[in-house]
Amino acid sequence: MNIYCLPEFVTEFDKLIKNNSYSFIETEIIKSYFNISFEEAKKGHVLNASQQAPFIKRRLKGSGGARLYLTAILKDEDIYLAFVHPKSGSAGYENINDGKKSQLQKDVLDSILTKDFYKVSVNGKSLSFTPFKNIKEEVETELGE
Amino acid sequence: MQNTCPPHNQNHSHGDIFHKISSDVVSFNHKPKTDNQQVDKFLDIINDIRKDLKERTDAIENIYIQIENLTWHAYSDSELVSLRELIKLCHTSVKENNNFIQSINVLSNNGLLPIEISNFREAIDDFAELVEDIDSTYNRLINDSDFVQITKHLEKL
Repeated sequence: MNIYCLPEFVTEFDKLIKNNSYSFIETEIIKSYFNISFEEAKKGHVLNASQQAPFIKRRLKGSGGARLYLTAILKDEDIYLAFVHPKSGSAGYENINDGKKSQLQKDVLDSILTKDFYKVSVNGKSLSFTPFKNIKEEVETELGE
Repeated sequence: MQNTCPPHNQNHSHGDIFHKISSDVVSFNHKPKTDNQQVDKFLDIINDIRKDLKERTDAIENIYIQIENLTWHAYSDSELVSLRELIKLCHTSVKENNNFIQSINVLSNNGLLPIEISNFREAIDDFAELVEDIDSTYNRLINDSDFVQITKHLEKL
């Protein structure tokens, strides 16, 4: 299983975890997407009625916690974290509208096509984000391509 | 040490006073028995509401899981008609349960069953959010040609 994320996700995530009230988001993502099976990682409900590329919404830390939006490409076991928002507090809100859902799906597709996304990994107790283009270039250099 | 007892009314004998107080004590002793019954009745009602709220919370969480699972499947046009009827029914349920929460808020505002009411309210809030999402998926986004095209493109990657 590969965990990737969109540039907008990194921006939103970095902004949120500067606030102590939202530091749980990082812990919850690590718990929900690392060292677990792909079956576990794709929990949530599907927003685009797709069986091959479900656009999934997941609750983080229960009702008043946060909501995470992601697209899973099932055949490759790839997960693209697209957006996260808390439910309460100064940056919190109830839900996103249809326009935002459409935009997020489009952003996921554009990011995949242009390879403008990040590889997400765990570094100690934190998440780290590496631009996918850098990883690709490193691998190509190592292979002498 | 100073005597702090109030002065007796000089017109009454000690015997009269003992008799009056004894009578007050007897009537006081009768009161708690009635109060105990009322407290028991009150606690029974509170426990019934507690049990009812717990059952409602478990039921709505169970429905939440079932509906979440529904979103992982494909549906024919006729099945979509039934699914849309289910969404309508869920909207009605959210409305009715929000009214119910309004009516029991008086309990938590007075310090009664705050945890049970909060758990129930959270379960209904989550359910309402899920119902809004499936409404968006199966009544609106499914008819949004741009959204459908992007989904198809993602499926072909």
